[in-house]
Amino acid sequence: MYAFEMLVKRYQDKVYGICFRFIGEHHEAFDCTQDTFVKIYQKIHSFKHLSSFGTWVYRIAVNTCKNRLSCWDFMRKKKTMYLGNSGANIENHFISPAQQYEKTRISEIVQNAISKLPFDQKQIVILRDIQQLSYEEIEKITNLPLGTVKSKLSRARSKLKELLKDIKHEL
Amino acid sequence: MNCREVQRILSDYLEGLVSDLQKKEIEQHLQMCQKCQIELDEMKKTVKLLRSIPSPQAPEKLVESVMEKISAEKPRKRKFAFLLTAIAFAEIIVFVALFKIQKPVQIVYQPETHVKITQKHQEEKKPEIVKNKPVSRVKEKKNAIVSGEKTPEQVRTEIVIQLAYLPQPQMTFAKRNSEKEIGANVLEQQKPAEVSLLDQGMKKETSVEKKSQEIVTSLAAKSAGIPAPAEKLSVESEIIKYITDAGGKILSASPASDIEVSYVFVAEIPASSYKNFLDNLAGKFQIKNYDLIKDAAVSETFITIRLQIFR
Repeated sequence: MYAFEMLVKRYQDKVYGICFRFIGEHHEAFDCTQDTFVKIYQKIHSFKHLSSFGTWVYRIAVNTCKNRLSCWDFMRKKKTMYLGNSGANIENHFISPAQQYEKTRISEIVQNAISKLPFDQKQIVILRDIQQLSYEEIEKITNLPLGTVKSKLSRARSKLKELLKDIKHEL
Repeated sequence: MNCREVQRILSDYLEGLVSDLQKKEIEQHLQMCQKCQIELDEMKKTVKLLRSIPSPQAPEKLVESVMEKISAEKPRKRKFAFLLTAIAFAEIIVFVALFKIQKPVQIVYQPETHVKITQKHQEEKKPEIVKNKPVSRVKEKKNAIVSGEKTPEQVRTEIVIQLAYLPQPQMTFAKRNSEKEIGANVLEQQKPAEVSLLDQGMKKETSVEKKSQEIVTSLAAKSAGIPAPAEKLSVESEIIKYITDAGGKILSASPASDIEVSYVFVAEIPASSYKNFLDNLAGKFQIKNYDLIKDAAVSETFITIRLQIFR
């Protein structure tokens, strides 16, 4: 159990980051992260070293998010979900409150833009541009060939380019 | 390369995933096309923006909560496993019990009109009447005739005893019922606790209907030393008394809706006290084909009897 606790501590930020970007809400992301680690604990014996352990962990996280997003309960909740505070909870004491506010606002706008993408594009953008994983890792996590990953990423970026047009001018 | 082709692979160009030839062609096109140059700048800004947004840190309580959830999952899993094991065991027991019930040959004695003797094989056969009288009140599973060919292990006995009460002018059914009520009232007033205990002991694994409970209660009252004159017991009470005296256990007791039969008892009696039990019954009741029933070859520790009281 102690070893597993160490493992959770090591991957919690990455997994929570992925879940948050997929789900777009802290409470649901917390539940999703929790479910991911419970699944990892239950299936840890089925890890076959075909990829790195991290890749395997992210793959479970992505699948958990996918299930959560397609869940009827979540779809219903999403309609009433509080969209505020979807920015990352970052407390940086070296920047002013105004800068902090601005950062949070931008983060919320980006998050809203990401949430408008279809799942297959969203997962590639999150894994590549936000989590900055390699193409090889993304291939293993998503089970998609490199060509598909590249084309989906290209389409996702084009969409985001349009969605974030206004904010880019502010920067 | 035209604009469309360039914009299609602009994302790959940014990542350095294009071939040298493609790279050269794109760069040549970008020098000539301002629109594509703007597209490229926009794309760069978008990627930069996406990569600049801070990743949220996991809440502090996450590790603790995950570990709690895992700990909570474990006993539930064990409990579920235990439940599965219990179900599996129960199924095995039921299977074995069914197998045991179906395999043996069953003998039920039926002398002429009152006692039927049947044998049950693994495959169901049509009821075969031993004597002339139709076997209308015999259970469906009592099928054939007596057979001495089977070994004791293969034989399971249920004896149907049909009784006719020797008429006594002072003991009409109406009177018997009223006496039964009196007995129950006496019991309630005097020793309810003792009756309850005796009652429980007597019907541990059986479900006896309400009426029979009253009868058992009155008998229990008698056993507990509550004055309830023996001569005041009803026919049913007397039979219960005989069964319990013989060390038997009543499996069911219920009034019959038959025109001829008024009451049916199903009981288990130790084989050792079976003859004495019959003798006692014979003193009070008229048992048809008494000799045949009495001499029935019994190879088990307990005999199941079905007593049918005729009106």
